[in-house]
Amino acid sequence: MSSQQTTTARPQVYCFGCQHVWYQDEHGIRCPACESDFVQIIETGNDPREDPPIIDDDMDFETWQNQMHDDHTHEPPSDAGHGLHFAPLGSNPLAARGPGQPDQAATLGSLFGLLQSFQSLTAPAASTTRSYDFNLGTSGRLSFRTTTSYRDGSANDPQSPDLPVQDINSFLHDMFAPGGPGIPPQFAQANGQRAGTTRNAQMAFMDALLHGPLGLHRAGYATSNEDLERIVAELFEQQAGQSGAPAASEDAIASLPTKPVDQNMLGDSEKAECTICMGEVALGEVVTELYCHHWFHTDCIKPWLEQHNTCPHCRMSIEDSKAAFDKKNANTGQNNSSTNAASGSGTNAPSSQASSMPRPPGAWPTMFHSQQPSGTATTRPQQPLLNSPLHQALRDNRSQSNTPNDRGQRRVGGQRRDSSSPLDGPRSTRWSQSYDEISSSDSRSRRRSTRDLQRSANQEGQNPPIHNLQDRLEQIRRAGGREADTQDNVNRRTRDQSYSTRDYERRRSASELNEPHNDGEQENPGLLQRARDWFSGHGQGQGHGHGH
Amino acid sequence: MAAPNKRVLKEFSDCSTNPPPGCKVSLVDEANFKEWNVLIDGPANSPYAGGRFKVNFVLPDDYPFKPPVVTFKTKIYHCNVTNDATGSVCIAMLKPDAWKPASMCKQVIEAIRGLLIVPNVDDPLELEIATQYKENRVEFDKKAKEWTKKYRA
Repeated sequence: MSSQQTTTARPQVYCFGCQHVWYQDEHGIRCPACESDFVQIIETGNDPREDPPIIDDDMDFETWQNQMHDDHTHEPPSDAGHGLHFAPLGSNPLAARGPGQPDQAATLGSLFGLLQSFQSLTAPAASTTRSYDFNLGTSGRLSFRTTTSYRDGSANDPQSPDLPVQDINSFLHDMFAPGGPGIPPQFAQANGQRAGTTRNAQMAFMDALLHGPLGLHRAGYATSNEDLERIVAELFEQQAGQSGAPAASEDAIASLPTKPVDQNMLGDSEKAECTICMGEVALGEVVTELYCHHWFHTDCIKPWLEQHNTCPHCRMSIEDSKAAFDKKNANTGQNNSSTNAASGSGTNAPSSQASSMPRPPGAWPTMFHSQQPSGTATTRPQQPLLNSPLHQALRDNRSQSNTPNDRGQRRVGGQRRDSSSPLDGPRSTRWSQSYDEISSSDSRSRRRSTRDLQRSANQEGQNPPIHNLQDRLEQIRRAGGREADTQDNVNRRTRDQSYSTRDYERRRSASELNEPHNDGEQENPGLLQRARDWFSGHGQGQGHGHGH
Repeated sequence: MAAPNKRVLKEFSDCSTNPPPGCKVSLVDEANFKEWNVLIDGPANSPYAGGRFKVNFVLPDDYPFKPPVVTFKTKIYHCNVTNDATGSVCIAMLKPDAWKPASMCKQVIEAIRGLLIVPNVDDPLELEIATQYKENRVEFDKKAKEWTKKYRA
């Protein structure tokens, strides 16, 4: 023990691997005991053997103490010298064990690797109770506690750092057993050899990770590196995106336009309802209209926007759609000119390509711009519900790169657009305008429109693969054609539902939420995106915030 | 927030009078419109056929800004429902980041029924059941049927 007394005269070195301490001038900076180079020179005020920051006075401690008291049945048996005995506290009886998991010893190894940095949490002291507390931001805290005592000097023997395998197995049972919610993450260790302490802390940490306040007990055991990866990804997920889109700014909310309900919004049935409260609106009632043209009671939309900046119906970000809206207003004058400067991406469409549908050159969707003076877009509020499915259809089409279109061509590089693309916002209204035409009984017009769309798409260098546009349009017509030909309220509701259900299914199938327009809103797109990408490779995407 | 409460009433009356096929919606407590009892018959084309599953819906106070909390009260052998006393369900549309106020309980019920027909094995709560579903469908069906019979609500 005396070798552990810090003396200032001769620099000492501490090994994180086996907790051995030696004089630097005797053995250098490689551990003479275990050959590890994971060492630190002990300095006054920076002694790795000191306890990590301890936060003691939170609720968990009380809970832990009580449970320690109640849980004596799980106290280690008398052969304490055997090694470690973990008693998971609280509601997780030992009976609640997972099935045998032969891979786990190997997995544990990787966990240890991951947790190298936590090794310093345990220090070679005679009898210690430590509590660890990590603030995990929005996910809450992660706390756990270990109690260590050892009996004799052999504890410092670097030759016996390994745990008896049996104990690992029995521990693993508890460690990885899927537990019910609310299991306190504290673990107690008693009478263990100190050599095992490091692992003890790691295990307790890992367990806290798995079963603790983060709610990772869902499928809460790791049997492979993949699982481990998943758990880590979920941590990212939970920390950063726990409740979806961020709140809208006050300014953004305040600047949303309001308007009285007009005849167009009511449609033929003279009835319409706010999809948030499902209450009917009357002609002339003032409602808030988002830039995606979905409208709601002002009092209904506000609490939602204060939590999330997306449209409750189509989930388009209001900031994004506003940007598109503003951009459109700024570009209004240029749309009908012969330049395509605004689109920035296209090649000039030769005039010979002009079809019966007048189409200005420019980015792909702008072919519709001339159908209707842009100013009137905002006065057609009954259209915008088409916005969302159309949007999606276009996005989907774009993202289906490398699929042959119906001309036998292959398209590459389905291009992701930023959210202020011409697709967003009011321009899409013109899509719906064209859609009206398309969906009319004039099938010739419909064919023409589609052809025109394809041709222009080919022309404009945006490479939107639209091979199945017609299908899309069909689908859209079924899904979203409701606002354009509003009927009675019941019908509207039915269609709303069917749309929403489809919408839900589509999202689910399209790696849910992995939508371009969401990307920009995240604070840490890189990390999140990685986690999301990972998820979408494995399942349905962003999914597992797992609140339950 | 009187308006969303009205919505709860409206949704309930719609769901109870005109429930999705094979479903029955009632209140756990007549005085509380925010806790629903939903009985879902096992879809005919699934191993859950013949079963009846009790599902609990709790609508939070700030519904529809927050999704309803859905739990299975009847034990079910399904990879998207936790095999514990809680019976948590994993449905994409209920996740906090996927929920939107325009979604409605009826759609959630339909989504649950859809899950009974086709489980989402890519996003399981019970990994082993998902694996079994993918790799040993016969065994899965057998077990699911067994449980369906055993725990019928």
